[in-house]
Amino acid sequence: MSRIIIHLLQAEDCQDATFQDLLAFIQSNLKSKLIEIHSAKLASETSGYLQGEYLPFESFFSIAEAYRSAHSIRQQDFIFLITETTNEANFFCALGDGDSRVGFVHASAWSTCYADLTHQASATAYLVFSLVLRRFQYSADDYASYMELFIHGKFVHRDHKACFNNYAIDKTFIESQLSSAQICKSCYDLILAGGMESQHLAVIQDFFEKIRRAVTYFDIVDPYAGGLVYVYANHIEIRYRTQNNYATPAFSQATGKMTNFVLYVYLLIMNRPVGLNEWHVDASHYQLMRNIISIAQGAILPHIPSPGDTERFQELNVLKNYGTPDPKDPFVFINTQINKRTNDLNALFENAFLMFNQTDAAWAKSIAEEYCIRGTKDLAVQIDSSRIFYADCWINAFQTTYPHMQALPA
Amino acid sequence: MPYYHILLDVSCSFAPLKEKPCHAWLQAQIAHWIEENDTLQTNHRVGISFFADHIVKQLLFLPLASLPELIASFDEPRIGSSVIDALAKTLSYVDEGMDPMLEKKLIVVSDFEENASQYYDLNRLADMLHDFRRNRHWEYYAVGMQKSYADMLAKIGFDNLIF
Repeated sequence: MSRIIIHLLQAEDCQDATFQDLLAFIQSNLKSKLIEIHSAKLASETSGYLQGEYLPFESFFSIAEAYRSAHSIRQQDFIFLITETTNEANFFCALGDGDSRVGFVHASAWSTCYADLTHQASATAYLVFSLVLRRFQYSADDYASYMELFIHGKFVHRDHKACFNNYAIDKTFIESQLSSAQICKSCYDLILAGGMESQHLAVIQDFFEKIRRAVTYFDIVDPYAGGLVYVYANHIEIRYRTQNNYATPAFSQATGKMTNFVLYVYLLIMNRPVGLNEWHVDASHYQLMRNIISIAQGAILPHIPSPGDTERFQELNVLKNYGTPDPKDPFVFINTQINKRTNDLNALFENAFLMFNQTDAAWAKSIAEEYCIRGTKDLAVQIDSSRIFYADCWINAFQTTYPHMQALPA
Repeated sequence: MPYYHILLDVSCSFAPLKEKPCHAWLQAQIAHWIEENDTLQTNHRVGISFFADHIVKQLLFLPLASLPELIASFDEPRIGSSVIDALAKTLSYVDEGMDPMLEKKLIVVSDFEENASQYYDLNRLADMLHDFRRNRHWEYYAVGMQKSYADMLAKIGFDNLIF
Protein backbone atom coordinates (compact mmCIF):
# COMPACT_ATOMS: atom_id res chain seq x y z
CA MET A 1 0.00 0.00 0.00
CA SER A 2 1.28 3.46 -0.87
CA ARG A 3 2.05 5.97 1.82
CA ILE A 4 0.60 9.43 2.15
CA ILE A 5 3.55 11.81 2.34
CA ILE A 6 3.08 15.20 3.88
CA HIS A 7 5.73 17.93 3.79
CA LEU A 8 5.33 20.56 6.47
CA LEU A 9 7.17 23.80 5.74
CA GLN A 10 7.94 26.29 8.46
CA ALA A 11 7.48 29.73 6.98
CA GLU A 12 9.90 32.43 8.02
CA ASP A 13 7.19 34.15 10.05
CA CYS A 14 6.36 30.99 11.98
CA GLN A 15 8.00 30.79 15.39
CA ASP A 16 10.29 27.83 16.02
CA ALA A 17 8.35 26.88 19.14
CA THR A 18 5.07 26.78 17.24
CA PHE A 19 6.48 24.58 14.49
CA GLN A 20 8.45 22.29 16.78
CA ASP A 21 5.41 21.78 19.02
CA LEU A 22 3.40 20.82 15.97
CA LEU A 23 6.01 18.31 14.81
CA ALA A 24 6.40 16.87 18.28
CA PHE A 25 2.66 16.46 18.66
CA ILE A 26 2.31 14.70 15.32
CA GLN A 27 5.33 12.48 15.83
CA SER A 28 4.22 11.36 19.26
CA ASN A 29 0.64 10.68 18.28
CA LEU A 30 0.76 9.50 14.69
CA LYS A 31 2.08 5.99 15.04
CA SER A 32 1.80 4.60 11.55
CA LYS A 33 4.07 3.92 8.63
CA LEU A 34 1.20 4.63 6.26
CA ILE A 35 1.57 8.36 6.70
CA GLU A 36 4.98 9.94 6.46
CA ILE A 37 5.78 13.43 7.70
CA HIS A 38 8.68 15.47 6.37
CA SER A 39 9.54 18.89 7.68
CA ALA A 40 11.70 21.80 6.57
CA LYS A 41 12.38 25.28 7.75
CA LEU A 42 12.16 27.81 4.94
CA ALA A 43 14.17 30.96 5.04
CA SER A 44 15.55 32.14 1.72
CA GLU A 45 12.58 30.76 -0.19
CA THR A 46 10.11 32.80 1.81
CA SER A 47 12.18 35.90 2.18
CA GLY A 48 10.25 38.80 0.72
CA TYR A 49 7.15 36.78 -0.09
CA LEU A 50 5.25 37.12 3.15
CA GLN A 51 5.39 40.81 3.75
CA GLY A 52 2.47 42.50 5.46
CA GLU A 53 -0.88 41.07 6.50
CA TYR A 54 -3.98 39.64 4.85
CA LEU A 55 -1.99 38.29 1.95
CA PRO A 56 -3.69 36.58 -1.00
CA PHE A 57 -3.86 32.78 -0.88
CA GLU A 58 -1.57 32.63 -3.87
CA SER A 59 1.31 34.08 -1.81
CA PHE A 60 1.28 30.97 0.35
CA PHE A 61 0.57 28.46 -2.37
CA SER A 62 3.40 29.77 -4.54
CA ILE A 63 5.94 29.17 -1.78
CA ALA A 64 4.78 25.58 -1.44
CA GLU A 65 4.80 25.04 -5.19
CA ALA A 66 8.30 26.52 -5.43
CA TYR A 67 9.43 24.05 -2.77
CA ARG A 68 7.88 21.18 -4.74
CA SER A 69 9.78 22.17 -7.87
CA ALA A 70 13.04 22.83 -6.09
CA HIS A 71 13.00 19.43 -4.39
CA SER A 72 11.31 17.43 -7.14
CA ILE A 73 8.48 16.36 -4.91
CA ARG A 74 5.80 14.24 -6.54
CA GLN A 75 2.44 15.82 -7.37
CA GLN A 76 0.57 13.34 -5.17
CA ASP A 77 2.48 14.41 -2.06
CA PHE A 78 1.04 17.11 0.15
CA ILE A 79 2.97 20.29 0.93
CA PHE A 80 1.59 22.58 3.60
CA LEU A 81 3.06 25.89 4.65
CA ILE A 82 2.74 26.55 8.36
CA THR A 83 2.50 30.31 8.73
CA GLU A 84 1.50 32.92 11.26
CA THR A 85 0.74 35.56 8.66
CA THR A 86 -2.94 36.35 8.11
CA ASN A 87 -4.53 35.70 4.72
CA GLU A 88 -6.98 37.73 2.68
CA ALA A 89 -10.04 35.77 3.84
CA ASN A 90 -8.77 35.14 7.36
CA PHE A 91 -9.13 31.39 6.75
CA PHE A 92 -7.70 28.90 9.22
CA CYS A 93 -6.29 26.94 6.32
CA ALA A 94 -6.77 26.37 2.60
CA LEU A 95 -5.94 24.05 -0.26
CA GLY A 96 -4.56 25.23 -3.57
CA ASP A 97 -6.86 25.70 -6.52
CA GLY A 98 -8.12 22.81 -8.59
CA ASP A 99 -6.64 19.44 -7.67
CA SER A 100 -3.54 20.96 -6.12
CA ARG A 101 -2.05 19.28 -3.08
CA VAL A 102 -0.41 22.34 -1.62
CA GLY A 103 -1.94 24.42 1.10
CA PHE A 104 -1.33 26.53 4.15
CA VAL A 105 -2.32 26.46 7.79
CA HIS A 106 -2.55 29.59 9.89
CA ALA A 107 -0.91 28.55 13.15
CA SER A 108 -1.35 31.60 15.34
CA ALA A 109 -4.14 33.42 17.14
CA TRP A 110 -5.19 30.35 19.09
CA SER A 111 -4.20 31.99 22.33
CA THR A 112 -6.57 34.92 21.77
CA CYS A 113 -9.55 33.15 20.26
CA TYR A 114 -9.36 29.90 22.21
CA ALA A 115 -7.68 31.05 25.39
CA ASP A 116 -8.09 27.86 27.38
CA LEU A 117 -6.71 25.67 24.62
CA THR A 118 -3.65 24.37 26.42
CA HIS A 119 -2.28 22.41 23.51
CA GLN A 120 -2.26 24.70 20.49
CA ALA A 121 -0.27 22.28 18.37
CA SER A 122 -3.19 19.86 18.45
CA ALA A 123 -5.41 22.46 16.75
CA THR A 124 -2.84 23.13 14.03
CA ALA A 125 -2.35 19.39 13.49
CA TYR A 126 -6.12 18.99 13.24
CA LEU A 127 -6.20 21.56 10.43
CA VAL A 128 -3.32 19.88 8.58
CA PHE A 129 -5.09 16.54 8.49
CA SER A 130 -8.46 18.15 7.76
CA LEU A 131 -6.92 19.49 4.57
CA VAL A 132 -5.65 16.04 3.66
CA LEU A 133 -9.11 14.52 4.12
CA ARG A 134 -10.83 17.36 2.30
CA ARG A 135 -8.59 16.88 -0.70
CA PHE A 136 -10.27 13.52 -1.24
CA GLN A 137 -13.76 15.00 -1.05
CA TYR A 138 -13.75 17.16 -4.17
CA SER A 139 -11.90 17.72 -7.44
CA ALA A 140 -11.36 20.65 -9.76
CA ASP A 141 -14.49 19.59 -11.65
CA ASP A 142 -16.56 20.10 -8.50
CA TYR A 143 -15.07 23.31 -7.17
CA ALA A 144 -12.40 25.35 -8.88
CA SER A 145 -11.00 26.87 -5.70
CA TYR A 146 -11.04 26.51 -1.94
CA MET A 147 -13.02 29.74 -1.72
CA GLU A 148 -15.70 28.28 -3.97
CA LEU A 149 -15.80 25.20 -1.85
CA PHE A 150 -16.20 27.35 1.24
CA ILE A 151 -19.19 29.12 -0.24
CA HIS A 152 -20.92 26.34 -2.17
CA GLY A 153 -19.47 23.06 -0.90
CA LYS A 154 -22.21 20.45 -0.48
CA PHE A 155 -20.30 18.54 2.14
CA VAL A 156 -19.65 21.64 4.22
CA HIS A 157 -22.09 21.28 7.08
CA ARG A 158 -23.88 24.51 7.85
CA ASP A 159 -26.06 23.00 10.56
CA HIS A 160 -23.46 22.57 13.32
CA LYS A 161 -22.84 18.93 12.70
CA ALA A 162 -20.13 17.23 14.75
CA CYS A 163 -17.72 16.80 11.84
CA PHE A 164 -14.43 18.26 10.73
CA ASN A 165 -16.30 19.80 7.79
CA ASN A 166 -18.57 21.84 10.03
CA TYR A 167 -18.84 25.41 8.75
CA ALA A 168 -16.79 27.58 11.09
CA ILE A 169 -16.01 31.14 10.18
CA ASP A 170 -14.34 32.12 13.42
CA LYS A 171 -11.48 30.38 15.16
CA THR A 172 -13.41 30.55 18.41
CA PHE A 173 -15.88 28.08 16.84
CA ILE A 174 -13.17 25.49 16.38
CA GLU A 175 -13.43 24.51 20.04
CA SER A 176 -16.41 22.23 19.58
CA GLN A 177 -14.80 20.60 16.55
CA LEU A 178 -11.58 19.87 18.41
CA SER A 179 -13.43 18.41 21.35
CA SER A 180 -15.35 16.04 19.08
CA ALA A 181 -12.81 15.59 16.25
CA GLN A 182 -15.26 13.47 14.35
CA ILE A 183 -15.66 12.46 10.73
CA CYS A 184 -19.37 12.11 10.00
CA LYS A 185 -20.67 9.15 8.03
CA SER A 186 -21.42 11.06 4.83
CA CYS A 187 -17.96 12.68 4.80
CA TYR A 188 -16.39 9.32 5.65
CA ASP A 189 -18.06 7.70 2.65
CA LEU A 190 -17.18 10.62 0.40
CA ILE A 191 -13.50 10.48 1.39
CA LEU A 192 -13.37 6.76 0.56
CA ALA A 193 -15.22 7.37 -2.68
CA GLY A 194 -12.64 10.05 -3.47
CA GLY A 195 -9.88 7.46 -3.43
CA MET A 196 -8.41 7.44 0.05
CA GLU A 197 -7.55 3.96 1.28
CA SER A 198 -9.62 2.92 4.29
CA GLN A 199 -6.40 2.07 6.16
CA HIS A 200 -5.14 5.64 5.74
CA LEU A 201 -8.48 6.96 6.88
CA ALA A 202 -8.37 4.72 9.94
CA VAL A 203 -4.96 6.14 10.86
CA ILE A 204 -6.26 9.69 10.60
CA GLN A 205 -9.36 8.81 12.58
CA ASP A 206 -7.18 7.42 15.32
CA PHE A 207 -5.04 10.56 15.20
CA PHE A 208 -8.17 12.71 15.53
CA GLU A 209 -9.12 10.73 18.60
CA LYS A 210 -5.75 11.55 20.10
CA ILE A 211 -6.30 15.21 19.32
CA ARG A 212 -9.65 15.01 21.05
CA ARG A 213 -8.01 13.47 24.11
CA ALA A 214 -5.23 16.05 24.05
CA VAL A 215 -7.75 18.86 23.98
CA THR A 216 -10.23 17.49 26.46
CA TYR A 217 -7.92 15.70 28.86
CA PHE A 218 -4.77 17.70 28.57
CA ASP A 219 -4.85 19.30 31.97
CA ILE A 220 -6.90 16.69 33.72
CA VAL A 221 -4.85 14.44 35.98
CA ASP A 222 -5.69 10.76 35.65
CA PRO A 223 -7.51 9.91 38.90
CA TYR A 224 -5.62 6.62 39.07
CA ALA A 225 -2.22 8.30 38.99
CA GLY A 226 -0.42 9.09 42.22
CA GLY A 227 -2.01 6.36 44.32
CA LEU A 228 -0.89 5.62 47.85
CA VAL A 229 0.94 2.38 48.58
CA TYR A 230 -0.37 0.57 51.66
CA VAL A 231 1.95 -2.21 52.76
CA TYR A 232 0.10 -4.75 54.90
CA ALA A 233 1.60 -7.81 56.56
CA ASN A 234 1.40 -10.01 53.46
CA HIS A 235 -0.03 -7.93 50.65
CA ILE A 236 0.11 -4.49 49.07
CA GLU A 237 -2.73 -2.22 48.05
CA ILE A 238 -2.73 0.90 45.88
CA ARG A 239 -5.27 3.29 47.38
CA TYR A 240 -6.61 6.72 46.51
CA ARG A 241 -7.37 9.60 48.82
CA THR A 242 -10.46 10.76 47.00
CA GLN A 243 -11.92 7.49 45.88
CA ASN A 244 -13.20 4.53 47.73
CA ASN A 245 -11.36 2.00 45.59
CA TYR A 246 -8.03 0.26 45.49
CA ALA A 247 -5.93 -2.11 43.42
CA THR A 248 -4.26 -5.15 44.93
CA PRO A 249 -1.29 -6.62 43.02
CA ALA A 250 -1.47 -10.40 43.33
CA PHE A 251 1.69 -11.01 45.31
CA SER A 252 1.78 -14.63 46.35
CA GLN A 253 1.16 -15.37 49.97
CA ALA A 254 2.00 -19.02 49.53
CA THR A 255 4.84 -20.56 51.44
CA GLY A 256 7.94 -20.77 49.32
CA LYS A 257 6.57 -18.41 46.69
CA MET A 258 7.01 -15.05 48.32
CA THR A 259 9.94 -13.87 46.26
CA ASN A 260 8.03 -11.07 44.56
CA PHE A 261 6.55 -9.71 47.74
CA VAL A 262 9.82 -9.90 49.64
CA LEU A 263 11.78 -8.22 46.85
CA TYR A 264 9.26 -5.41 46.50
CA VAL A 265 8.90 -4.66 50.21
CA TYR A 266 12.68 -4.81 50.56
CA LEU A 267 13.08 -2.13 47.87
CA LEU A 268 10.35 0.01 49.42
CA ILE A 269 12.02 -0.16 52.81
CA MET A 270 15.49 0.54 51.36
CA ASN A 271 14.06 3.67 49.69
CA ARG A 272 17.06 4.00 47.36
CA PRO A 273 18.55 2.27 44.33
CA VAL A 274 20.19 -0.94 45.50
CA GLY A 275 23.03 -2.45 43.49
CA LEU A 276 23.01 -6.22 43.15
CA ASN A 277 26.69 -6.25 44.01
CA GLU A 278 25.73 -4.89 47.45
CA TRP A 279 23.93 -8.17 48.09
CA HIS A 280 27.13 -9.99 47.40
CA VAL A 281 29.32 -8.03 49.77
CA ASP A 282 26.86 -7.15 52.53
CA ALA A 283 24.90 -9.94 54.22
CA SER A 284 22.66 -7.45 56.02
CA HIS A 285 20.53 -7.27 52.87
CA TYR A 286 19.61 -10.94 53.25
CA GLN A 287 19.02 -10.44 56.92
CA LEU A 288 16.56 -7.69 56.05
CA MET A 289 14.84 -9.93 53.50
CA ARG A 290 14.76 -12.74 56.03
CA ASN A 291 13.07 -10.41 58.50
CA ILE A 292 10.58 -9.38 55.84
CA ILE A 293 9.68 -13.03 55.19
CA SER A 294 9.32 -13.63 58.88
CA ILE A 295 6.84 -10.78 59.23
CA ALA A 296 5.00 -11.54 56.00
CA GLN A 297 4.51 -15.20 56.84
CA GLY A 298 4.10 -14.77 60.56
CA ALA A 299 5.36 -17.28 63.09
CA ILE A 300 2.81 -19.83 61.88
CA LEU A 301 2.97 -20.79 58.22
CA PRO A 302 -0.32 -19.86 56.55
CA HIS A 303 -0.48 -22.66 53.95
CA ILE A 304 0.20 -26.36 53.60
CA PRO A 305 3.01 -26.59 51.04
CA SER A 306 2.06 -27.85 47.60
CA PRO A 307 3.85 -30.97 46.31
CA GLY A 308 6.01 -28.74 44.05
CA ASP A 309 7.24 -26.51 46.87
CA THR A 310 10.76 -27.65 47.56
CA GLU A 311 11.92 -25.27 50.21
CA ARG A 312 10.35 -22.72 52.49
CA PHE A 313 12.89 -20.01 51.93
CA GLN A 314 13.37 -20.62 48.24
CA GLU A 315 12.88 -16.92 47.67
CA LEU A 316 16.07 -16.09 49.52
CA ASN A 317 18.05 -18.56 47.42
CA VAL A 318 16.54 -17.11 44.29
CA LEU A 319 17.53 -13.62 45.31
CA LYS A 320 20.98 -14.69 46.43
CA ASN A 321 21.70 -15.96 42.93
CA TYR A 322 20.91 -12.58 41.47
CA GLY A 323 23.47 -10.90 43.65
CA THR A 324 26.27 -13.39 43.12
CA PRO A 325 28.86 -12.36 40.53
CA ASP A 326 30.16 -14.97 38.15
CA PRO A 327 33.58 -16.10 39.49
CA LYS A 328 34.95 -16.05 35.95
CA ASP A 329 33.76 -12.53 35.26
CA PRO A 330 32.95 -10.31 38.26
CA PHE A 331 31.01 -7.91 36.06
CA VAL A 332 28.47 -10.57 35.16
CA PHE A 333 25.99 -12.02 37.64
CA ILE A 334 25.45 -15.77 37.74
CA ASN A 335 21.73 -15.50 37.23
CA THR A 336 20.90 -12.96 34.59
CA GLN A 337 17.19 -13.53 35.01
CA ILE A 338 16.62 -10.60 37.35
CA ASN A 339 15.14 -8.78 34.41
CA LYS A 340 12.54 -11.48 33.97
CA ARG A 341 11.70 -11.43 37.66
CA THR A 342 11.24 -7.69 37.79
CA ASN A 343 9.16 -7.86 34.59
CA ASP A 344 6.97 -10.55 36.14
CA LEU A 345 6.62 -8.50 39.27
CA ASN A 346 5.84 -5.32 37.36
CA ALA A 347 3.19 -7.21 35.39
CA LEU A 348 1.38 -7.83 38.67
CA PHE A 349 0.83 -4.08 38.96
CA GLU A 350 -0.41 -3.86 35.37
CA ASN A 351 -2.88 -6.66 36.01
CA ALA A 352 -4.05 -4.96 39.17
CA PHE A 353 -4.93 -1.79 37.25
CA LEU A 354 -6.61 -3.74 34.46
CA MET A 355 -9.47 -4.39 36.86
CA PHE A 356 -10.38 -0.71 36.50
CA ASN A 357 -10.38 -0.81 32.71
CA GLN A 358 -10.05 -4.25 31.20
CA THR A 359 -10.03 -3.02 27.63
CA ASP A 360 -7.14 -0.60 27.93
CA ALA A 361 -3.95 -2.52 28.58
CA ALA A 362 -1.83 0.46 27.47
CA TRP A 363 -3.45 2.66 30.09
CA ALA A 364 -2.95 0.02 32.80
CA LYS A 365 0.69 -0.26 31.84
CA SER A 366 1.25 3.48 31.91
CA ILE A 367 -0.44 3.85 35.31
CA ALA A 368 1.45 0.86 36.71
CA GLU A 369 4.78 2.27 35.61
CA GLU A 370 5.25 4.49 38.63
CA TYR A 371 5.08 1.43 40.91
CA CYS A 372 7.42 -0.71 38.84
CA ILE A 373 10.94 -1.79 39.75
CA ARG A 374 13.49 0.00 37.57
CA GLY A 375 16.93 -1.14 36.57
CA THR A 376 18.65 -4.45 36.10
CA LYS A 377 21.76 -4.25 38.27
CA ASP A 378 20.69 -1.25 40.33
CA LEU A 379 17.13 -1.87 41.40
CA ALA A 380 14.82 0.85 42.65
CA VAL A 381 11.16 1.66 43.17
CA GLN A 382 10.86 5.35 42.51
CA ILE A 383 7.81 6.19 44.57
CA ASP A 384 8.10 9.10 46.94
CA SER A 385 8.26 7.67 50.45
CA SER A 386 5.55 10.12 51.57
CA ARG A 387 3.10 8.04 49.51
CA ILE A 388 4.01 4.75 51.17
CA PHE A 389 2.35 3.60 54.38
CA TYR A 390 3.24 0.54 56.42
CA ALA A 391 1.18 -1.63 58.75
CA ASP A 392 2.20 -1.73 62.39
CA CYS A 393 4.11 -5.00 61.98
CA TRP A 394 6.53 -3.26 59.59
CA ILE A 395 6.75 -0.07 61.60
CA ASN A 396 7.53 -1.96 64.80
CA ALA A 397 10.23 -3.98 63.13
CA PHE A 398 11.99 -1.43 60.94
CA GLN A 399 11.11 2.19 61.63
CA THR A 400 13.99 2.70 64.05
CA THR A 401 16.47 1.75 61.32
CA TYR A 402 14.50 3.30 58.45
CA PRO A 403 12.93 6.50 59.80
CA HIS A 404 11.32 7.41 56.47
CA MET A 405 8.69 4.73 57.09
CA GLN A 406 5.29 6.05 58.05
CA ALA A 407 2.40 4.19 59.65
CA LEU A 408 -0.94 3.56 57.98
CA PRO A 409 -3.36 6.42 58.59
CA ALA A 410 -5.88 5.74 61.33
CA MET B 1 6.94 -13.99 72.47
CA PRO B 2 3.91 -16.33 72.41
CA TYR B 3 3.82 -19.94 73.53
CA TYR B 4 2.79 -22.49 70.87
CA HIS B 5 1.19 -25.78 71.74
CA ILE B 6 0.66 -28.51 69.14
CA LEU B 7 -2.18 -31.00 69.63
CA LEU B 8 -1.39 -33.91 67.33
CA ASP B 9 -3.85 -36.64 66.33
CA VAL B 10 -2.24 -40.11 66.36
CA SER B 11 -5.46 -42.08 65.89
CA CYS B 12 -6.11 -44.66 63.15
CA SER B 13 -8.31 -42.31 61.14
CA PHE B 14 -5.43 -39.84 60.76
CA ALA B 15 -2.75 -42.43 60.02
CA PRO B 16 -0.25 -42.63 58.51
CA LEU B 17 0.64 -39.06 59.42
CA LYS B 18 3.84 -39.17 57.39
CA GLU B 19 1.86 -39.37 54.17
CA LYS B 20 -0.42 -36.45 54.93
CA PRO B 21 0.27 -33.00 53.45
CA CYS B 22 -0.09 -31.52 56.91
CA HIS B 23 2.95 -33.55 57.98
CA ALA B 24 5.03 -31.55 55.50
CA TRP B 25 3.50 -28.42 56.94
CA LEU B 26 4.37 -29.50 60.48
CA GLN B 27 7.98 -30.24 59.50
CA ALA B 28 8.24 -26.88 57.71
CA GLN B 29 6.68 -25.12 60.67
CA ILE B 30 9.17 -26.58 63.12
CA ALA B 31 12.05 -25.71 60.78
CA HIS B 32 10.61 -22.21 60.51
CA TRP B 33 10.66 -21.75 64.29
CA ILE B 34 14.15 -23.17 64.59
CA GLU B 35 15.45 -20.90 61.85
CA GLU B 36 13.77 -17.85 63.34
CA ASN B 37 15.26 -18.62 66.72
CA ASP B 38 18.69 -19.00 65.11
CA THR B 39 18.71 -16.12 62.66
CA LEU B 40 16.33 -13.59 64.14
CA GLN B 41 17.15 -14.26 67.77
CA THR B 42 13.49 -14.97 68.49
CA ASN B 43 12.47 -17.17 71.36
CA HIS B 44 9.69 -19.40 70.09
CA ARG B 45 8.59 -21.76 72.87
CA VAL B 46 6.69 -24.90 71.99
CA GLY B 47 4.92 -27.83 73.64
CA ILE B 48 3.06 -30.83 72.24
CA SER B 49 0.24 -33.21 73.14
CA PHE B 50 -0.56 -36.51 71.39
CA PHE B 51 -4.07 -37.91 71.45
CA ALA B 52 -6.16 -40.78 70.12
CA ASP B 53 -9.07 -42.03 72.27
CA HIS B 54 -7.39 -40.25 75.16
CA ILE B 55 -4.39 -37.98 75.66
CA VAL B 56 -1.34 -40.16 75.25
CA LYS B 57 1.42 -37.73 76.10
CA GLN B 58 1.76 -34.06 77.00
CA LEU B 59 5.02 -32.07 77.10
CA LEU B 60 5.54 -28.34 77.66
CA PHE B 61 8.51 -26.14 76.74
CA LEU B 62 10.34 -28.65 74.58
CA PRO B 63 13.63 -28.06 72.80
CA LEU B 64 12.51 -27.37 69.23
CA ALA B 65 15.13 -29.65 67.72
CA SER B 66 13.70 -32.66 69.57
CA LEU B 67 10.21 -32.26 68.14
CA PRO B 68 10.64 -34.06 64.76
CA GLU B 69 12.04 -37.14 66.44
CA LEU B 70 9.33 -37.13 69.07
CA ILE B 71 6.63 -36.92 66.41
CA ALA B 72 8.24 -39.72 64.41
CA SER B 73 8.19 -41.96 67.48
CA PHE B 74 4.38 -42.05 67.39
CA ASP B 75 4.16 -44.13 64.24
CA GLU B 76 1.79 -46.79 65.65
CA PRO B 77 -1.81 -45.76 64.95
CA ARG B 78 -4.15 -46.01 67.92
CA ILE B 79 -7.83 -46.86 67.96
CA GLY B 80 -10.40 -44.17 68.67
CA SER B 81 -10.39 -40.43 68.39
CA SER B 82 -11.58 -38.08 71.12
CA VAL B 83 -10.70 -34.76 69.57
CA ILE B 84 -13.27 -32.79 71.59
CA ASP B 85 -12.06 -34.12 74.93
CA ALA B 86 -8.42 -33.77 73.88
CA LEU B 87 -8.89 -30.14 72.88
CA ALA B 88 -10.65 -29.18 76.09
CA LYS B 89 -8.32 -31.08 78.38
CA THR B 90 -5.17 -29.83 76.66
CA LEU B 91 -6.41 -26.28 76.82
CA SER B 92 -7.07 -26.38 80.54
CA TYR B 93 -3.89 -28.35 81.31
CA VAL B 94 -1.58 -26.03 79.39
CA ASP B 95 -3.31 -22.89 80.57
CA GLU B 96 -3.06 -23.85 84.24
CA GLY B 97 0.63 -23.24 84.45
CA MET B 98 0.77 -20.15 82.22
CA ASP B 99 0.53 -16.44 82.81
CA PRO B 100 -3.01 -15.47 81.71
CA MET B 101 -1.55 -12.41 79.93
CA LEU B 102 0.88 -14.48 77.88
CA GLU B 103 -0.13 -14.93 74.25
CA LYS B 104 -0.81 -18.62 73.62
CA LYS B 105 -1.53 -20.42 70.38
CA LEU B 106 -3.03 -23.88 70.12
CA ILE B 107 -2.33 -25.65 66.84
CA VAL B 108 -4.53 -28.70 66.32
CA VAL B 109 -3.24 -31.12 63.69
CA SER B 110 -6.08 -33.56 63.11
CA ASP B 111 -8.79 -34.70 60.70
CA PHE B 112 -11.27 -33.73 63.46
CA GLU B 113 -13.03 -37.11 63.21
CA GLU B 114 -14.67 -37.78 66.55
CA ASN B 115 -15.86 -41.08 68.10
CA ALA B 116 -14.58 -41.37 71.63
CA SER B 117 -15.13 -38.20 73.69
CA GLN B 118 -16.89 -38.83 77.00
CA TYR B 119 -16.63 -35.67 79.04
CA TYR B 120 -17.17 -32.69 76.72
CA ASP B 121 -19.56 -31.99 73.88
CA LEU B 122 -19.26 -29.50 71.04
CA ASN B 123 -21.25 -26.75 72.78
CA ARG B 124 -19.21 -26.92 75.96
CA LEU B 125 -16.01 -26.94 73.93
CA ALA B 126 -17.12 -23.89 71.95
CA ASP B 127 -17.91 -22.01 75.18
CA MET B 128 -14.51 -22.94 76.55
CA LEU B 129 -12.65 -21.86 73.41
CA HIS B 130 -14.43 -18.50 73.36
CA ASP B 131 -13.86 -17.96 77.06
CA PHE B 132 -10.14 -18.78 76.87
CA ARG B 133 -9.66 -16.60 73.86
CA ARG B 134 -11.41 -13.64 75.45
CA ASN B 135 -9.94 -13.91 78.95
CA ARG B 136 -6.71 -15.84 78.68
CA HIS B 137 -5.18 -14.80 75.35
CA TRP B 138 -5.55 -18.03 73.43
CA GLU B 139 -5.70 -18.25 69.67
CA TYR B 140 -6.56 -21.43 67.72
CA TYR B 141 -5.25 -22.95 64.50
CA ALA B 142 -6.59 -26.04 62.72
CA VAL B 143 -4.50 -28.03 60.24
CA GLY B 144 -5.30 -31.23 58.35
CA MET B 145 -9.11 -31.25 58.31
CA GLN B 146 -11.34 -31.58 55.27
CA LYS B 147 -12.63 -28.31 53.88
CA SER B 148 -16.19 -29.37 54.65
CA TYR B 149 -15.36 -28.95 58.35
CA ALA B 150 -14.43 -25.31 57.92
CA ASP B 151 -17.83 -23.87 58.88
CA MET B 152 -18.14 -26.01 61.97
CA LEU B 153 -14.64 -25.14 63.15
CA ALA B 154 -15.16 -21.45 62.53
CA LYS B 155 -18.37 -21.61 64.51
CA ILE B 156 -16.75 -23.11 67.57
CA GLY B 157 -13.93 -20.56 67.54
CA PHE B 158 -11.15 -21.52 65.13
CA ASP B 159 -10.12 -18.32 63.37
CA ASN B 160 -7.20 -19.80 61.50
CA LEU B 161 -7.80 -22.75 59.22
CA ILE B 162 -4.72 -23.91 57.36
CA PHE B 163 -5.30 -25.84 54.12
